[in-house]
Amino acid sequence: MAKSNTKQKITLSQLAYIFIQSQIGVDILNLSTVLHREAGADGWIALLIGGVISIFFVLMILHISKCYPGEGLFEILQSTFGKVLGALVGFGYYVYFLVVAIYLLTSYGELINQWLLPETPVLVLYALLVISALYTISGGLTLIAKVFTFFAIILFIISALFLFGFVDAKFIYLLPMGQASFSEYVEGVRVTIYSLSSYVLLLLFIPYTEGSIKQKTRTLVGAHLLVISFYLYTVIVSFAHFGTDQIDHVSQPVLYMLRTADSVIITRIDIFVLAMWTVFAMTAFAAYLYAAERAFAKVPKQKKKMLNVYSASVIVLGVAYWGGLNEENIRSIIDFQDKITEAFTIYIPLLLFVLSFMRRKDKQKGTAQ
Amino acid sequence: MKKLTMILLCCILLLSGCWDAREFKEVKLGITAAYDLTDDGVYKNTILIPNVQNSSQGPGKESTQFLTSTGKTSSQSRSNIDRRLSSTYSPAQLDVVLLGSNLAKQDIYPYLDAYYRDPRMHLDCVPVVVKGSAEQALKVVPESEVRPSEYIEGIIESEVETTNSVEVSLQSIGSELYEEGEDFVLPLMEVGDAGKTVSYEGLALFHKSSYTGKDIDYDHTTLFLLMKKVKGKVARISTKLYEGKKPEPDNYTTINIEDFSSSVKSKPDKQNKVRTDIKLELTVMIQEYPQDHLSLSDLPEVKKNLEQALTDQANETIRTIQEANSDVFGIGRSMYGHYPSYWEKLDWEKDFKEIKIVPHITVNIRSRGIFR
Repeated sequence: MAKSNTKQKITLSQLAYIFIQSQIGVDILNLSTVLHREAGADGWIALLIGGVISIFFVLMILHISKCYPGEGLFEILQSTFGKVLGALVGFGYYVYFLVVAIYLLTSYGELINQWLLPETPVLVLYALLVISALYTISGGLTLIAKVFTFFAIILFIISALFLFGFVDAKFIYLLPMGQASFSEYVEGVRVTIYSLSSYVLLLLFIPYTEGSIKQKTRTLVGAHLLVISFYLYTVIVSFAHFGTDQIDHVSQPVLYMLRTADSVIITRIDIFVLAMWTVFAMTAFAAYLYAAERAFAKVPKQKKKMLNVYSASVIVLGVAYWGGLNEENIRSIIDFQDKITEAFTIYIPLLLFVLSFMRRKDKQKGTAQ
Repeated sequence: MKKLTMILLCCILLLSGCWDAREFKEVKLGITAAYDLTDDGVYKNTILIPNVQNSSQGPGKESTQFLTSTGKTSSQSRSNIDRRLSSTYSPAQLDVVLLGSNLAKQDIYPYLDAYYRDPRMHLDCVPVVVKGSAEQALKVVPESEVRPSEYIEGIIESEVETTNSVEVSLQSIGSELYEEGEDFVLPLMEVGDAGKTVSYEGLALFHKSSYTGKDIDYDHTTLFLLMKKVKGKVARISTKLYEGKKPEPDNYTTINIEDFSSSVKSKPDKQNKVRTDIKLELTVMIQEYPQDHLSLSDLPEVKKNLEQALTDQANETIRTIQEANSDVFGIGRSMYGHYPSYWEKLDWEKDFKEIKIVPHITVNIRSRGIFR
């Protein structure tokens, strides 16, 4: 298999597509319901607020990357926290990436099993996704970048198909505005930031991108805005389609609303969208698996590194299989993920951000002496 | 390694089958289903399964098969039907669900739950209320029809085209079924001609998820639907313009609606709690004026009488709606949307009957036809 060597470079647009594809995973299908449960009809406002806040996180990550030129996430952790603590936090990230990968895999299996292939053993569904993801990441960074760029077209096809949701939509369902309480807004914002939390992955890609930090900032903020507006679009369509009460009962509103959409060429658009969505599931899953692989970047031998990836995917498959047994197990995976997400996507990046200022002072001192 | 991968990939591509294949020959598709509640409260399900026989010339003749079974829930009675079929019965392609009025007067949701829950079901299925027994309506098979299984669906479709019925499906009533301050209508049918035909009777008014027992008459549906901003391909209204002219048809006229615009606006009101104004502007062509001699100078009077007659008709419809307590215009939801704090003070269950709904209808006669 091809080598994943650190000297590989990706272009700015490839960086943008990697970012978009790793953001849009499972959440696109159920974000509307989750937001509605948290903040009611004002869910889309919470999404907007959360989107704006997450832009600051993206800028923060860019700043961290600027302060440690050429270093990836795990190197940065080492040079900030020291060897032992750095390795520990690095391992924490390894676990976090695996947990997200497990979450993506179980949700994907659950969805396909419910909507599309009820008879197919769920393990086969998992294996299909894992194999395609492994194949993608085995080619290293440039291949990932190319595959992700290639599949970006699906985003536009799916956006166009969602227009069918407007057929039965009533915009009165978006009113009244401003009924949610402050704590409900906070919950809605939290959910939004979690579903946009792939910015943590950026630290793995930014150092290998060509271009100045200014160009990277412009590209990434642009990509992030695209993702936010896509989310906003799906949330508004599904809110207007289902109304205040029904949406809480539907777990994948964007699919559900396409169930009656009849077109000349495709009878069941929901199934068609679901089939295309599996690509999103694969790319997001591959991104997190790749991130887990990077934890072993320091391991010198290529073969050993791939071995680590295989062992990681076996762990992922095993836990996902356990998770797929019943809804309770999935629930506990999601709960565990929720617990650790906060630490790894909000607190540690914040800490790194603060520490990066101190480091800059160190450097200045160093040059002055 | 590379070779092995290639071989494995080829195997995956070439040797894969499908676990979830469901062959057409193994299922029997029901096209129409009828749900009834018998007098002792037992749920009864009847389905129509078409079988097309091959023939050497032309399209095969269609024969229909009816199966009836009872059960506690719709899934149970479905499996009771299945017991009597050589292949599996699948309601995944149902086009029409007939609900007997006894059953519709109960909460209809429990009987439809399976449709919403199972992703294999097609939600594009038209629910219809039948006065009396739905089973009886289902079993009407006129001999003149080439495809008896599409008889009822055909009636509904043509009524939608002539603006007498709304285009409904299980999906489109889904949000209204749940939403507070918003109700819906379903097509209403009845068996006529001593069991030889089924006829479309108007729109059945629902409140929450049960049939109120009150309907909008067939004569009033077009105007009602126009107020609800729905128009099919053609819209025609016959109305009484004058009193006491002889012969009787002279009192009437028929207009063809070419264009329309409609708006429903509600606001809080001191006297009646809520005041709703329904503005409807119609651009019409006089299609029938049996009195003859419709000169240009008569038009203003005709227009005035027409507006009066239509307003009376609209008022009558609104009265029925309020008596039925069926908020089909979604006034409650619109009040909640625009005046959320005022809405808190309302008891919509009671207040809807008391609110004031005023229709404002203006008619613009564009043409009198080619014979004056």
